[in-house]
Amino acid sequence: MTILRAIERFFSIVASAFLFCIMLLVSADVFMRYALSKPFSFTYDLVATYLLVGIFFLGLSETHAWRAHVSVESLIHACPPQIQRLAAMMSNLVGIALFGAICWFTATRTMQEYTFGNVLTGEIPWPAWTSIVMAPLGSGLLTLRLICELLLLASGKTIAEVTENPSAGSNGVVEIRGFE
Amino acid sequence: MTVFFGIGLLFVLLAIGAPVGFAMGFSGLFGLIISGHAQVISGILSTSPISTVSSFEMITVPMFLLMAEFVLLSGIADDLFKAAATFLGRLPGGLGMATAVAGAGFGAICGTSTASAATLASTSLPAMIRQGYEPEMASGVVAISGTLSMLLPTSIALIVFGLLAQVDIGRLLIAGIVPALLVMITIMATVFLLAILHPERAPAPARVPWKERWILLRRVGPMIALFLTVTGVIYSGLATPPEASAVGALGALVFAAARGRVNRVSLLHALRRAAHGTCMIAMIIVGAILFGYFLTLSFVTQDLVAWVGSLDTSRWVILILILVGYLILGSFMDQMAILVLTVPIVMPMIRSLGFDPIWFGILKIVTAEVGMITPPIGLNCYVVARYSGRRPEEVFRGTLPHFIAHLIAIAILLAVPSLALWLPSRIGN
Repeated sequence: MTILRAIERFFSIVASAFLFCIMLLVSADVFMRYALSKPFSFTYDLVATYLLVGIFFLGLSETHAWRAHVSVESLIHACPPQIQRLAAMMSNLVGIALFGAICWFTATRTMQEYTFGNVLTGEIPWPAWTSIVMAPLGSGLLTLRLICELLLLASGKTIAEVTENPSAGSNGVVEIRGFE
Repeated sequence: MTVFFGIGLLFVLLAIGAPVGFAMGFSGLFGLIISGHAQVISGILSTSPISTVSSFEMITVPMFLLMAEFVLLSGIADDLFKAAATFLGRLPGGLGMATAVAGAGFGAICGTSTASAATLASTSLPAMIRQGYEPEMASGVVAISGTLSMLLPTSIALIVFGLLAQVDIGRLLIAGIVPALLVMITIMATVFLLAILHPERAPAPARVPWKERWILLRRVGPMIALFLTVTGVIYSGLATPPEASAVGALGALVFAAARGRVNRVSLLHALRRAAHGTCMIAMIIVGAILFGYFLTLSFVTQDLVAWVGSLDTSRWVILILILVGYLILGSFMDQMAILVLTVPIVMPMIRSLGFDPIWFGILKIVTAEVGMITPPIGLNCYVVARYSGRRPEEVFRGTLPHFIAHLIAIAILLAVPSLALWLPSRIGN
């Protein structure tokens, strides 16, 4: 779990750096367009194909670890802790199936793009696999986290003990969520 | 029959508390398998999650979230409330009305309702209580004023609606401005009436000299400039909403830095929180897209649209029923979850009934505002309770008059669509 947390933290910092880059790059692009009539030719490709994909997939696992994904908790919070733990295990199984499949299919696509040497159809012919590879990396890391959490829950740990958010399993909704 | 299995599984997974994005994605895949479309899954999973998050429009989500984080970091809300209070404070319920104005001003640069409510709860609520305001009334006006963020440009809820409903996000953001003003006036009128009926619940503060008023107004000048920049470039067509959002985030960072609030730790914290928010929103959109494949291939939406079209009922009755459904859902479901679960199904219906999707989007978001203060899960009330140390029941009771007033505001928006549609029709003119 310690190694997993370290990788998650590293990925999250990279995702945060990508966020900062988008802000600077898009703002600079607007400035260049109006002040010098010379917008960057690579902004769209770099932001959409690399940075946005990176923010989502690299931040995916830590977002789950912090229980920042939206869920409907009003019903399950009314149940006893044992039922809540069982429900969390089922929820983890669902996540493992979904993200395991996404990891597998995007990894296969990455290998294909690499083998055939495909490039992106934009202003700059970047190798396609360099963008897509973030999908199996991020979804694979989330799958690993979900497996670890499932094993810990099965061994008798509580929901609060397996997450990075101490208020999870009670009403952690106010603590961490609220992006509406 | 397979449709019911897919949708039934979705509801079971939601009930056990699975993240909405996970539940929708998994149910969608399950639905595709049992309906005999398993062969398309590898193609969908290897392309769809990546293509969904790599649309240029998607930039608005992380950038407005980041802008909100930097605005929170700057601590502007306190000055904003003080400035509004010096001008409105002497009127009956003046500090409550100033809270609504501060909520609108803050909401214009911070597009998340809960962040807005939390900020108002730690700035204007203590000021009102110090002044002798009844805590129930004061916390109620704070909780409802926070929801104004959902209607103003930079609103994350409007952007998510726009991405799901595939409507022009620039027009949608501009469309929210007049309804937001209407809602702000509704809140102010409610507070005014309450203060007239029960003056002891909202005593007036001492008069503030004009010199001090101008000093406070000058301090909020950069915030007004930031709002005008973001809204102005979208309205004039000088920049797209994604570009405006990035410039807004940079402006907010410069503003927070100028106030000496930015250091390495606070910057990283703001970036990580915005990254988490982006992942959360992108995840539910990815889940909705995966579930959407199942709905499309099983013809559920088309069948539903055809069925609604065959009904011998006025389209206005159907629209009102949909809005009432949203109000009921809002009392026990998260607003993001409601958006992602309903918009892909409701929007084709709205279009087939001949209603404007942008106008409907605004109506939907106003019902979401009501959901943010409706028990048992009205999130803003819990936020205010938490940040002010008051009991949630007290805050819920305080929002009751605003709940009723909001229903009147919804009726006005329903009766006069041009309130939402006039401003976007002027974009670029």
